[in-house]
Amino acid sequence: MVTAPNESLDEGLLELRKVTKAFGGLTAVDDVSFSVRKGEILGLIGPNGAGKSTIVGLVMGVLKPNSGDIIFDGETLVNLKPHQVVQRGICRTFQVEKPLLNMTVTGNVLIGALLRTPDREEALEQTKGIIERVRLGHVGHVLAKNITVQDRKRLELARALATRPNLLLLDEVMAGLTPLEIDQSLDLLRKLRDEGLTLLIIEHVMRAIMNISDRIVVLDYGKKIAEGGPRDIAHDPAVVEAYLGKKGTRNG
Amino acid sequence: MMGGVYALIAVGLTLIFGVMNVVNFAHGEFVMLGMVLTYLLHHYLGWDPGVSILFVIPIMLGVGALIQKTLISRVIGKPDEAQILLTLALSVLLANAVLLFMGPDYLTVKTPYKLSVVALGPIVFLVPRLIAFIVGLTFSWVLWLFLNRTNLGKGLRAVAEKPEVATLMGINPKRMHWLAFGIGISLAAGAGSVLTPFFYTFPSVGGMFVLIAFVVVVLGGMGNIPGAILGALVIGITESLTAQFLALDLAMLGVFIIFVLVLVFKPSGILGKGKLY
Amino acid sequence: MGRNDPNRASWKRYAPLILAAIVILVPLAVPSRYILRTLVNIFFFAALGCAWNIIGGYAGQLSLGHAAFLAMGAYPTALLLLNLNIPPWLGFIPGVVLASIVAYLLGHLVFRLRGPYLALSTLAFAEILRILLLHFRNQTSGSLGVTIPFKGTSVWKLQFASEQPYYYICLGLLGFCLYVTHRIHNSKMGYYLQAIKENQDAAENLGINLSGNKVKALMMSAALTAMMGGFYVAYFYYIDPDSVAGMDLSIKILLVAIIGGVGTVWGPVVGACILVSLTEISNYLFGGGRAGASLVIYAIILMIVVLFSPRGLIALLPGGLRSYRSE
Repeated sequence: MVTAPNESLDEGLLELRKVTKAFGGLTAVDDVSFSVRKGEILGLIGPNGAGKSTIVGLVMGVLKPNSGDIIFDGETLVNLKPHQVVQRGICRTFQVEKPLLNMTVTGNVLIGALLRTPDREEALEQTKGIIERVRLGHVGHVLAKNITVQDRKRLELARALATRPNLLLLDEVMAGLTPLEIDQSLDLLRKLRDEGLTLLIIEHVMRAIMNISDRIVVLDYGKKIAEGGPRDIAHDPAVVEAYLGKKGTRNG
Repeated sequence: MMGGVYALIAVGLTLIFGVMNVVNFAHGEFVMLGMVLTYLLHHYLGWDPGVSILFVIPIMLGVGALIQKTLISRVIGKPDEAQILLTLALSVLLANAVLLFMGPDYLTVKTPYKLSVVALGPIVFLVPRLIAFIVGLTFSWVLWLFLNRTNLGKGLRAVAEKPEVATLMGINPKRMHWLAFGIGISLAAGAGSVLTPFFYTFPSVGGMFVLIAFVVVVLGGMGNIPGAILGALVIGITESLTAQFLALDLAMLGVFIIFVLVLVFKPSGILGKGKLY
Repeated sequence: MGRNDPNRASWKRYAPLILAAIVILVPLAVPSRYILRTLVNIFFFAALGCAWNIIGGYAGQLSLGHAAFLAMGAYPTALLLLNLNIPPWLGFIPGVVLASIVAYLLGHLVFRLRGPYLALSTLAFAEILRILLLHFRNQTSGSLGVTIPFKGTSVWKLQFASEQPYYYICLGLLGFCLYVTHRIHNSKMGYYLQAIKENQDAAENLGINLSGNKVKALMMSAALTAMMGGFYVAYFYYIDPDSVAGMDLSIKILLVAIIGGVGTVWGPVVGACILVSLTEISNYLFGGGRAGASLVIYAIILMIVVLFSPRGLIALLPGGLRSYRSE
């Protein structure tokens, strides 16, 4: 992992400060502030349309906030292009997977590794390691367009890991997985965290997120309505209201 | 004056894009085919272009449907490059096939009213151009009516807007596809017909028109019919102004510059991506 | 055949050498001007296809106006030669620089566009250049074109009475283009371009600078094309806006790369062989007057390739599929 020289233990690795984003008349993210501390697993949840995807876009530099600031490792991310954000050390997985179809699984991950390791041979070594960890070894030489959906998800994760991020942004990686697969994924994520990776996880699968998050931030209609440990969140009346008050999704 | 003709050509192009999401690089060649067909009818049967157009349009409708079914349908849903290259190849094929059969000569259709003029107030119009303008706008308007008032037209719009829903409602998208393509290129061919009295007919004339058509469509908004009509008028005027105030041979330059500006600053066009109405 | 089959290994190892030897020795063994000229044509179009391939094949950004870069190389070379007696091998340098700068500016302008919009802008760009070349008659002789008079053999001016020297020059230029492509293919940039071609969003998420890489690829492509523009002047002795900046040429260039095999080093060579041979055959069958015939054939082949073998015809050759890199 790329180490961060400047961050202090008091501040978060990633901080959103009063971030607001509006599209025309619709305010998708309204004055949201929270931080992700180094080495923690932060869950971001909320009913559909709460603004979670917008936050991802804002952090990754795809969207620009109307106001507020996003600080990563002491420096602002606003005005950076997406590839620069990745170079700073944040990588995301896509909710709808975007594999490089005409390349093999190895090729896909290799391209991620090339970011920090321009030498092809070294990058290939790292790639093989990551592929094994993520359990894609059986399809290493298969073209990405020919692998199963579950493998595609793993590929998303493997690619993101190959860029050696300090912060990994996981966008609904648990959807459609069997309970066993969910547990395997959670295991892997915990191991990654133990190795120093910070995780920001966006999820709908409650079982998973309650299980793994150190803290959780809840959004509704673009506003932050709750923040705290999983147990506190589960009993927070505002959260319950948000999910049951509308036809929100609640899987478990 | 050319605005009317441009409108007719562009409207067909934007219809095809709206319904099928296909960018038809060969569109200009269908204008050329219309011109060639009209020329042949004039040359061998003595028909006036005004009569020929009634013949050309239905024929080209059939031709379009055929081409769509055999070729275009294969690239719908495939990546952009496939569509671009296929229609580009089609364009080269048509232009050169005609070159092969008819030779490179510039052909003219001589009609008795070719040089007559009509004066409306202080402005003098050349009759053939005036007719082309009127025909162009009229047929474009007819298309608009067709799309809004008839069931078939509404079917086309449904497929353009929400293909999945259209299927659920019993509309056959494949049928709508060849209908849209057929109509689109037959209108282009019709435009070709009305051009013949005052524009040279030759195999590579299509290239010029497809570029203008694209500029118009981008300007008006891809898939937006009123936008195409409006855009055509704007481009027609730009062309005349550039020719007059800058230089005759730089006329297209003004058009292209507008094109680049639009693409860079407002790629969705003046009226935005349309839903065909 | 397994990877370790000894028969295959020696075939693979010696074939390129044999091919190279043949290619180098042909002019000495075969005196026919016609054959040599045909081969020069093949090399010429293969080099152009190679150059186009960098941006159109590897990066997947279809340029329909590449002839413009050829013109940007050809016109300065021709005018400098005609007016200031500067030999083509010096005169092409300003052309290359010009093409690179234009590519830089153009790239930043149009690469935010995707698919057909991008293709259209490249078309428009080439047309704009062609119109300007026609318009500024005083400088460029407009539609009359620029004719370079042949004043007897001169190595300095690259004017030769026989074909052999041109053969080797063009072969050398092709070799250079192939070398550049080979280097890109095996480098980080090659991988990055391929990623951009496959899925730009995914590529960006892997830290790839979309605009930077695309512009760089376009600049390299433009520079190589302009370089061939210089050769064009030295070999064909005549240029005019329609022949060097026209759509016909742009289409031929992309045909060579696409029909041969995009995203491979040797694809354009295959494409050029096919295209030039077909032109010769069709000229022979239909006579030179039937100008449209060869283009009709090209168009049909392109359609077949697009519909049935999108990776180009090189995929059909034995071992051809390995020209593509998938991992």
